[in-house]
Amino acid sequence: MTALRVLVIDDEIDITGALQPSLEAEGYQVVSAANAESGLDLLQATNPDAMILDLGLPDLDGKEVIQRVREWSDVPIIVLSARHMEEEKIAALDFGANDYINKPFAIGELLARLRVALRLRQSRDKPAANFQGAGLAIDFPSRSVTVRGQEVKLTPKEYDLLRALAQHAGQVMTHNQLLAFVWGSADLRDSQTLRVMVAQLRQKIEASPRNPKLILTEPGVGYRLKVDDEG
Amino acid sequence: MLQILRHITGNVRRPILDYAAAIVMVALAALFAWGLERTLGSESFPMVFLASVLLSAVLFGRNAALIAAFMAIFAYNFLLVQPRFTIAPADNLVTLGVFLAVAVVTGGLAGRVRDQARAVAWRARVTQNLFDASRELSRSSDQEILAESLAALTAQAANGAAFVYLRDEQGLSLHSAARNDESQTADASQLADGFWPRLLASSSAKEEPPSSERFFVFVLHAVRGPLGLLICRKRSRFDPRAGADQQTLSVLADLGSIALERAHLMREMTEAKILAETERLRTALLSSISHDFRTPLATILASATSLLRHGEQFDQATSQRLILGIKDQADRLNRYVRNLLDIIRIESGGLAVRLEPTDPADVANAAIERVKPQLGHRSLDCDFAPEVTLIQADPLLLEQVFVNLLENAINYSPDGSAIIVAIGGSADQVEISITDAGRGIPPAHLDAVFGKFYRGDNAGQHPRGTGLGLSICRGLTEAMQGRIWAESPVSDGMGTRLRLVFPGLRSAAVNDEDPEIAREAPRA
Repeated sequence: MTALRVLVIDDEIDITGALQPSLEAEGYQVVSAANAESGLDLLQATNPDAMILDLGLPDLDGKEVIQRVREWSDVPIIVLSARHMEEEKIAALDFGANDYINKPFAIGELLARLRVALRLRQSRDKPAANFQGAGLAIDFPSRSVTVRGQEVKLTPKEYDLLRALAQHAGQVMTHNQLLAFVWGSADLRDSQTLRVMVAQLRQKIEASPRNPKLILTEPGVGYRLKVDDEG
Repeated sequence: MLQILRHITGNVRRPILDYAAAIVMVALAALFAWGLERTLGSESFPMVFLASVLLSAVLFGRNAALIAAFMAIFAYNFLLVQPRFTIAPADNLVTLGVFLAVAVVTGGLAGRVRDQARAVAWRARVTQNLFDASRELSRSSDQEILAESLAALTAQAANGAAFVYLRDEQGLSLHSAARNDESQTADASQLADGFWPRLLASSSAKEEPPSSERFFVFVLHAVRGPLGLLICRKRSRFDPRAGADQQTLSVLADLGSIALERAHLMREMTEAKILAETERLRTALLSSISHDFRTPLATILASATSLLRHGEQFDQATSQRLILGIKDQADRLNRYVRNLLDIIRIESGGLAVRLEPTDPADVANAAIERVKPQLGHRSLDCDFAPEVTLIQADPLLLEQVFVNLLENAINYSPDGSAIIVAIGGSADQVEISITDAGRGIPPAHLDAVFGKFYRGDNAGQHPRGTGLGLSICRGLTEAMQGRIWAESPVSDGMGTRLRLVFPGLRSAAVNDEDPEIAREAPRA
C-alpha cells in the first residue's frame, strides 16, 4: 500500500518545516508549496489525498484557492487560520473546505483532523449503512438511533440533524451547512431554531445534555460530532 | 399719561421729537393761559409758562427745556402782552428778563436731573444685560453652545442679525448666527473672510476691524491670538430700532471671548488628559511586553539552545522536561498575545461584535475544553440549569470572556482546589458565575480588578498574566449588553466569584413532533 500523500501550502517555511517531520512520522508523504500558484500546480501534478492550506497566502485569497480547487477536485482541504478571523474561516468552510484549525495549534490536533478528513473521504466512495462511535449507533436504512444500547426516538428534523453530523463525524459542520441539510435553506434567521434543535437533540442523546460529549459546539462556526480518535 | 409719554419718548431716540414735544407743550400752555385769562388774570401767565418749561425739562430733557423757555418768552410776548400779536418791546422788560432767567435755570436743572436719571437707568439696564450675558456664557464650556449663546445675546442687544465666526481647522468658519437672513449672512461672511487674513497677518492685535455701513465687527481676542469674529447689525443712532451702542456690544464680544477661551482651554486640557492616558497605556503595554513576554521567551530560548548544544548528552527525562517547558511557555506567550490583541481591539474601538442567539452553556463548554490543559489538579464542576436560555451574544467574544475568567480562576487558586462554573437565571436574565477557592480579592479592590494592568498587591507572587484579563472581560461583556462584577470572599474568607448577567432571549421552543409545526417552526 502506498503512503497517503499530503500537500501543505503555507508561505511560512518554518511551519511547513515543523509539520513535515511529524506528518512523515505518521506515514504520510509530504509535498509542500509556499504560494497558491505553485500549490495549485502541485495539486494537479501529484494528486494528493489531502491538502493543508494556509488562508493567508501572499498571492491569492484562501477562499479563491478553495473555489479553484473545488472546480475540479474533491480533495479534502483543512485550512489553517487565525482565531479571530472567524468570517474568513466560515467562508472557507462554506466554499468547500472540510475542516479548519486555529493557529497556533498542537500537532496532535492537526493530525486528528487530517485522519478524520481522510477517513471520511474513503467512506464516501462506499457509504456506510451505519454509524458507530462514542456510545452512539445509527442505522441509516432503518433510521434507528441507539445511545448506549438504548433506542431513542427522534423527530424527523432531529434525525436529519444527527445524520448530517454523523455522516461528517469528527468534522465541523457550519450553521449554514446544517441549515441547508436539515431545512434545505441557509437562512440565518433560522440559526436560533438550529440552536434550539441542537439542545433538544442533546437532551435525547447526551448523558449530560448541558455538558455534551457527543455534539460539540464550535463557537461562532458550527457543530462537530465527536468521534473516538485512536490517536 | 406721563408713563405713556415717557415710554414713547424713552424708546424714541430722536431729539427732534423731544424738541417738537416741548414746543407743543408751550403751545398748550399758551392756549390754556389765553382761555383762562378772564378767570385767572394776567398775573398768573408767567407761572403757567414756567410750569410748561419745567414739565418739558422733566419729560424731554435739558435741551428741550431751553427751547421751551425761549418759546415761552416768545409766546408770552406775542400772545398775551399788550399789544397782542406783536413782538413789541414790552413795558415790563424786567418781568420778561427775570422770567427767562428763571425758566432757563429751573428748566436746565430739572432737565439735567432727568437726563442723569435716564442715563443711570440706561447704564443699569446695560449692566444687567451684560451681567445676564456673562452668566449665560459661563453656563457652558462647549464651544458650539457658547457660540450659539453669544450670537443670540448679541442679536438681542443689537436688535438685529448677529454672527459668530470661529477659527478652526478650515481657517475661519461661521459657527452660529441669530436673527439673520441669507443676504445678511453672505455680506457678513464676505466681511469676515476679507478681514480675517489681514488680522492674522498683522502681528499686533491692534488691527482695526473694517468699518461697514451695515455691520459692527468685533475681534474675539484670546491670550494666544484671535479666536474669531463677532459681527452684528449696525443701525443708525437715529433709527428707532437701534439697539445697544458699540461700546456695550464690544463688552459683549469680550465676554464671549473669555467664555470661548475658557472652553478652548478646557478642551485642550481634556485632550491632554486623554493623551496622557494613552501614553500611560502605551508605557504599561511596553513594560508588560518586555516583562511578560521576555520571561517565557527566555525559557524557550534557553531550553531550545540547551537541546541544540547538549541534546545528545541529556537523558530522555531531561530532554522531555526541556521540551515540555518550551511547549508550556509557548502556550503562555500565545495567551499574552491574544490578550494584547484583544485589549488593543477594544481600546481602538475596532471590535466587531456579531450578536446572535447563543447558548452560554455551549460556549462555556467550549471554553472549558480550551483551558483543560492548564487545570493541573484542580477540579472543574459545571452547574448548568437544565433549561436552555439563549442570549444575544457574540459566541467568540463570550468564549474569550469564559477563557479569561477560567484562566484567572486557575492562576489565582491553589492546585487541587475546585472551580465551579454555574449558569442559571430566568427566561429574562441569564446569570453566570465562576467561583474559585483562591485567596480572594480585598473588598476595596473589587472594582479596581477590572482596571487595566491590575495584578493585585501581590503581583510578585502571581507573575503569570498581563493584568489585562478582567479588563478585557469587562470590555467584551459590556459590548454584548452584559454586566460583570466580582464578589469576594465567597466562603470562609476565601475565594472569588465573578458574576455575569445577560438579558435573556425568550427561547423559541421548537417542536416538530407535529409535521405541520415542523414545517412552520424554522420560519418563525
